[in-house]
This record gives sequence, C-alpha cells and structure tokens, in this order.
Amino acid sequence: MVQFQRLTFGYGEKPLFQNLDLTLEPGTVYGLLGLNGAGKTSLLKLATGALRAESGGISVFGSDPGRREAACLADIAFVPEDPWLPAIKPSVWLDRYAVFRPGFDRERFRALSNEFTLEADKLLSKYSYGQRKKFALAAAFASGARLLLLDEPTNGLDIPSKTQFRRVLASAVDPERVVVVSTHQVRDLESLIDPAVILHGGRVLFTLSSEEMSAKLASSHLSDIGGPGIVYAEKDAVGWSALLASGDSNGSADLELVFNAAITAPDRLAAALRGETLSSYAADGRDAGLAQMRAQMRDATEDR
Amino acid sequence: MNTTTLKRKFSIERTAILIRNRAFEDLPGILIGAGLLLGINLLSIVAAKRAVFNDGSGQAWTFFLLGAGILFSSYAFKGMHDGKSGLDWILLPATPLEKYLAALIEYIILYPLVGAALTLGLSALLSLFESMAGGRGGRIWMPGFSDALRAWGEYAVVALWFLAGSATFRRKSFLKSAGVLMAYMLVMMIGFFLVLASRRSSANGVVLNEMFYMNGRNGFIGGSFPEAVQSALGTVVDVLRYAVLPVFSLGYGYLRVVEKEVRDEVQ
Repeated sequence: MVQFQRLTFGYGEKPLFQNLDLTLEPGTVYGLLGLNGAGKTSLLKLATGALRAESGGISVFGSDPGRREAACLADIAFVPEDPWLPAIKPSVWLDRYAVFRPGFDRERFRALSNEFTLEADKLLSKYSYGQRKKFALAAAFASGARLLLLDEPTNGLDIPSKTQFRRVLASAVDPERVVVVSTHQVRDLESLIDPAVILHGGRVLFTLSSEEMSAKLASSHLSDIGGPGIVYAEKDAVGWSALLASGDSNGSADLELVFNAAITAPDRLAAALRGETLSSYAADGRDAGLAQMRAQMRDATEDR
Repeated sequence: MNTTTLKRKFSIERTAILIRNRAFEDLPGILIGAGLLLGINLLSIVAAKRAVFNDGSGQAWTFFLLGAGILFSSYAFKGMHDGKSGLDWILLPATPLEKYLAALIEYIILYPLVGAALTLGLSALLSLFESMAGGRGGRIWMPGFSDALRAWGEYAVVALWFLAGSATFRRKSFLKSAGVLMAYMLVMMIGFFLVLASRRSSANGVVLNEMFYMNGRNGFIGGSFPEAVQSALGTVVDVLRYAVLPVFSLGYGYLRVVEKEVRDEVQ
C-alpha cells in the first residue's frame, strides 16, 4: 500500500499540495489526472523520494522513500516523461544497473524489448524519444518493483506502440503491485485506468472507479443541451458531447468528459455521483466553466 | 545481488558495483589522457630522442596524474545534478552513503593506485622507445615511498575538497571549488597575518611592512618570530589543512549527496 498523509509540498512560497491525503491499494492501476501544473509529476517524484515533502508522511509498502534505503528504492520503478539513458548498449545497461534490483526479470526484459522492437546493438543515448520511452517502460515492467510510476507513458509512442503498451500494462497488473499512470492522454488508457484520481487545487478532487462511473454517469451525443440530467457538455461540429447523470447507463462514461466535468463543474459532478437531481445545464455555465479552467491553467503556468 | 543483500542498510557488494560502474565511466577519459601523454612524449622522442616527461625527476608525470585525479573528483557528482540523469542517480537502488563512498574510494584510493601503475608503465614504455630511438633511455618515473605517500596525502586533502565541490555545484564545479579553496586560503593567510602583525606590533613596535609570504610550516611573516610562536602557528596550519579541511569536506559533501532532490528541474 502507498500512502500520502497530510502531505504539504510546494515550489517557492505557494504550496502545490496542502494536507493532501491519498491511499493507493495494490492490484490497481490508478490514473492520475490533472491540469498542467496540478502537480502530477511532483506527486510521483514525492512517492519515489526524489522530492521531499515539507510536512506530512509518505509510506511505500511501509517504508519512507525519503530515507532512500536500497530496498525501498528497488521496490519503486519510475518512468519519467522524457527518460534519460546513458551512452551504453542495452546488454551493458543490464550488467551495470539491473544488478541493483534482485527482482529484475531479464527474460521479461528481453521479451518486452523484442515486443517494442528495441535495437540491441545501438547505444541507448542514440535512441529516439519513443525508443527511450519504450526502453524505460520495458525496464520498469521487468524491474520486479511493486510500485510502478509512469509519467505520461504514451507520449511519444506511435500507434502500434500504444497498443503494445496497453497490452503490457494489462499484463503488469499484479495483486501485490500498485501502478500509477499520470496522463493527459486519457483516451489512450481509459480502458485500463481504474480508478481515476483527479488532482486539482492542491488536493485530490475525485477518486472515481470505473464501476462508479458506469453506474452513475454516461456519455452521450446530443443535439441540444436543454434536457435534464446533463452534468457537463462540450460543443462539437454536429452537436454536443455530453456527460449525463444516469443510473442505468448502457455504456461507460468518457473519461475525458468526466475529467473536464470535475475541473469545470465539480459541484454538478459530485451531485451526480450522489444521485441528486441536477438543475438544467446552461451554455453560460459551460462557458463560465471553461473560462475558469483557462484561468486555473494560466495561474498554474505562472506559478511554475 | 540477492534479496538479503538488498535489505541491508549498507552493502559492500552494492558499493563495489558502484565503484566498478564509475571506473567504466571514467575509463574513456583516462585512456584519452594516457593517449595524449603518450603522443606528446612520442613526438618529443621523434624530434629530440628523449621523452620529455621522463626528464628530471618526472614531476610532469606527478602533476598530470594528480591533476587529472582532482579533475575527476571535481566532476564526480555531475550526473547527480543533471535535470534528467539526476533522477536516475537518486533512484538507483543504493543508499546515499554507498554512492558517496563509491566516489570516495574511487578517487581517493583506487585512482591514485591504478593511475600510478599506469603512469609507471607509460614511463617505462617511453623509456624503452627512447632507447630504441637512440636516446638515453633508462629514465623511469618512480617516486620513492615517502614522497609518494606525502604527495598522496596532499592530493587526498585537495581531492576531498573537490569532491565536496562536485556534490555542491551544479555547473563548473572545478572552477568554483578552486575559487572557494583559494578564498579560504586567502582568508586564512590574512587572518594569520593580522594576528602575527598585531603580536609583533605590540611586542616591539614593528609595523606591518614585513615581507609577507607563505611556505607552510615556516611561518608567514619575516623570520624573526620566537620559535614557540612559529611552532604553534605551524601546528594550527597543519590542523586546519590536514584535519579541519578534510573532515569538513567529507561531512559537507556527504550531506549534499544525502539531501539532493530533483527540485531544479521542471516538475
């Protein structure tokens, strides 16, 4: 189990997280969603111990990652958005760095390298961005670590690689393993993420399981938004993509719509999840919501 | 490495692997340096039938050997500060103590030993070439044990300082460490100068127009201080140089490694 307790952390004077609480259970693939600057990567780095919290506690399977003990570090595999790799060949990398992890499965690594069609005779530093990413993913999935932290794992992957990645990620689910995927590409991964953790305003705004979303929300395409039960809607070329409060949904809710609803209309989403009747959704409300979202993104960028 | 080793707070095996990895990383630099020195000396053999570095007491070999060691020390933790490789460095499953100790053993103990052996081999090889080219030959760099020990002691003090500098400064750590070391020496010299000058002034009215120089134990000002004062001063200088400075460098460098975060890069 991974726990963040009353975590406070920030860059400069303004805190990024204030008294953040989050518990991550094994056997689960968490999707960490948030606007740019919401602190997704920082939260992942705090979980690795590469960043230190100002106050509060972090526990990774009972250990404090901030102490940087070898056993705890070996239990964590982090794939950054833009992985760095040294100027050595993959076989040399295995001999020099994989040896620090007794649980590293070389056979699995080779199988994943083959699946990702990684070149064995090329220096890792000469790999393209996508290849570096695939190498780092293969190393993480073979590491034997119980906590996998993947930061924007599908960025830079071509379409076949995304399919391979989804397959590999699905096979990496283990009753003892916690997988956290931070992503903006929710449509790439929405079939695998369960639950989605929405990070906003320095706290966890929602933790939504796919079961809860299927039971209480639905996506639909509407020609107008005058009807009842609309949580959130987006105008498109031929009408409205809408998120509906629906107790008997036939399909799953579109995660991107759910995310946008969580950011721009958190009260409506919360009410829908509680099963309350919603007031009518006005286009003004949507516009106001988008304006709010843009302002938040601007603030977050300025904070950096 | 097995699971039992992994659970240990400190592992010699992990430290040994870290040292081995460092050696592999430094090897190209060492070979390039050795190749350059070989080239320079071969040119001098071709041009003047003598290996220029084997001339005299072979001070040039010592200078390059220890200078390169200090240069390596000053970049020992470069990877730790890098925005991208730094994260890998921190997350490599070994404790900060093991990572720091690996650098310490590598640059304070192993490098001087291996470097000296390599230098000896290079010097002997060049001496042979010199003979084959019709030169004098027979001159090989081979410092005496006590000279080597003294040189190593001086090197270790400076290398420790540069290791601490490498753990502290993100960029241009060699220049910055050298700058801070010079500032430290200057402050010490001025401090001693003022203390001694004030003592002399109060003792016999001599003003601050004495020639100021520093040559280690022998004192800072003039030669006319009482033996006891000179001896005490020498002891203070030795303590500062061989105890305070290395202990500070060790402790400070280690703490910088322990406290390293990846805050510098965009999150």
